[in-house]
Amino acid sequence: MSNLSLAKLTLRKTPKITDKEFQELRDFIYEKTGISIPLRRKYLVENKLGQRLNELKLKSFSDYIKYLKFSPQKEREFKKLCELITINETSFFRDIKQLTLFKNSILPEILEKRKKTGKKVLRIWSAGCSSGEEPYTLAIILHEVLKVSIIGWDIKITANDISPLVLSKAKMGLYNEHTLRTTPPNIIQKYFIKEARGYRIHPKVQKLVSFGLLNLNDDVAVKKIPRSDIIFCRNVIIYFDDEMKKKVLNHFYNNLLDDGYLFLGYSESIHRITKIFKSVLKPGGVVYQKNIKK
Amino acid sequence: MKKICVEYIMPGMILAQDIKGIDGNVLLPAGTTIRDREKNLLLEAGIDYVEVKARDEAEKENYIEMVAQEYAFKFFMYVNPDSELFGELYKLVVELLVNSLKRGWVLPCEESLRAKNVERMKDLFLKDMGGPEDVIKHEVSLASFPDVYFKLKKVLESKTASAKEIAQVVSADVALSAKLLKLVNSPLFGLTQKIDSIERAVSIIGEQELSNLALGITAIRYFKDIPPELIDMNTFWKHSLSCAVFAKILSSLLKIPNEEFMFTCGLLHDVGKLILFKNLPYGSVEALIFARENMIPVVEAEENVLGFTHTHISNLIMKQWEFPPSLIDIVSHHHNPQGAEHFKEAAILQVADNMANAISIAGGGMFVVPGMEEDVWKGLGLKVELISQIVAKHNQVLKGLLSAIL
Repeated sequence: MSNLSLAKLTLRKTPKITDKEFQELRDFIYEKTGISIPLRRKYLVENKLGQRLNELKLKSFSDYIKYLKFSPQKEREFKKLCELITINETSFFRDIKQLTLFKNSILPEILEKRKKTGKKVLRIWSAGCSSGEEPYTLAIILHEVLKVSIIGWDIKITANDISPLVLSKAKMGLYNEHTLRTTPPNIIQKYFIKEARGYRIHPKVQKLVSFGLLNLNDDVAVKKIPRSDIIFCRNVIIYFDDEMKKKVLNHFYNNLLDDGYLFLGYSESIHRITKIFKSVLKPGGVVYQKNIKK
Repeated sequence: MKKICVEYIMPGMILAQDIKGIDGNVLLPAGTTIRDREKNLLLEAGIDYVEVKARDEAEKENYIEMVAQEYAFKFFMYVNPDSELFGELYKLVVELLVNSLKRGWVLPCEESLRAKNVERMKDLFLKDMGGPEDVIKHEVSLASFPDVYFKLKKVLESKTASAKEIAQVVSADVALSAKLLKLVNSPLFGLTQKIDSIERAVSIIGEQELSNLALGITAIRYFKDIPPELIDMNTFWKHSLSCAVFAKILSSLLKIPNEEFMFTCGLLHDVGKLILFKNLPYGSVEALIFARENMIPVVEAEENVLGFTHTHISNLIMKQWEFPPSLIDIVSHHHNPQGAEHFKEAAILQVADNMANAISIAGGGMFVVPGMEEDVWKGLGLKVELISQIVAKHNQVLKGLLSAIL
């Protein structure tokens, strides 16, 4: 590489964010989404959002913040912001230990209970569904467990995310080999249709899932979610501070049926934060139930 | 013609092979000029690598430079973009990458950089149900630190130890002696005469200094039974050795006494990670995945995912093993030197760690450069122009050292 071009190389590719601007941006993001961005990640934010500034031809972060708050395109820009600051890494059958616990222990228990009441209704909430891998995985497991008798059940998996881009991917239902890397081949054969551009989820799986845009910080919207037998919220609350974690867990408490179960990500735990849930240790991991005083 | 990961394709590159879809039909024929539309198609189809070519040599050079810049930049997104240290390191890394690419190296795809699948491994405890102390308690119950170190320590503490006595203790451990001799005879130590006995080594480089080196090498032995599917030990020790070399060179330039001591600090700075991996394999891998996804340093990911870091672990285990207090202090603070008693040494170690991380980018390293406070860097008073020389010296001596001590 020529010495001249090497000498001109710089890490500064975006306008610089001042501490004040960073704080304002952090506050805005926290207020709107509950996501708490650590102070240490200032330069990361500067780089990620700085690209957006370049795209919008804005000269400073102050201008960008004004754009976010007051411009006619602020709704659209907020959606774009959500896409940039949320992590959407996911795959089918992610965290197989936990899913096995769901399939072999929790699900059969709930199904049995509901069958006994005569109302074969099952409601699952995938809160933070990203591009759909998680809710579709759950739907596949339901098919595997119930087999033909699934016809007799009224099942709905409500799947939400704050980022519109990943939601549209989820609705499309087209996936590549990477996201299927830990999925057993027989499952792929049964529940996916091979197309030129990838694997499309089978309609019988898709129809069990209902996707919708949702901000977990939006109290009104969250209250509209149908009461759940099981909630999955994995690798979401790790991005919230304790205050927001408490709030979301309260939402879950109110949404979950009294004998229902809550699944969190492997590395997320809550007993330091709130006592409204009690942890239930099972082979394969921890699952949570409402701590109801008798 | 060159194999390249789809994510690094620059518009204008020409496809040198037919790309087939999953159903066997040709999605894109060879000869297609790839622009955004084609690139998106390839990304969606989940294709890893494709063969591409450029229109001419000049264009090829240009592509290589652009790809190197883009690839390297990702690893520097967490650090201060205005830092003179990291600005310089970025340039060096790009240069290294360009050279590697020209020699045919293929940049690793995002997908291949994902951490391993350790679904079958069990953690000592689930999150918040245990802490660093539990990890240490378990570790200590499993194995003890090699005896030779404690024997050596005792001899040194006796104050009347002669070079001969010290040599006797070390020589009794044949493997250790062999490695020590290889180490002190390596170009890094710049000795004019070949040393062929431990006794000679003690008299030339000093008892304390030799003891420090012995400590480092003994530690490597302690960790030899970690399952390979959990962590690639070669990569681990390469990074540790890299850090050790940088720490020694930096100490020498900054006229810090005890370069051998700093070498050992570098060598041992991440052993806490090994202990974490042994006891919390699942959690450790989750932390690595979290680090990659969020483009943050592993140490920060550990804090988020586990609730504590490898420096907490090293602090405790080194205390347990009765390592020299100054070593414990410096190693425990290599991510936050401001908290160290030996601030300057800890800061040097932090620079060394950052440099080792940066250089590894051109060798398939997976994680972002951790960064440091610009004030701390500036406070050391090292001229940034020296960085490229330091890297050159490091590259010269590294390979020989690796084979010597592993």
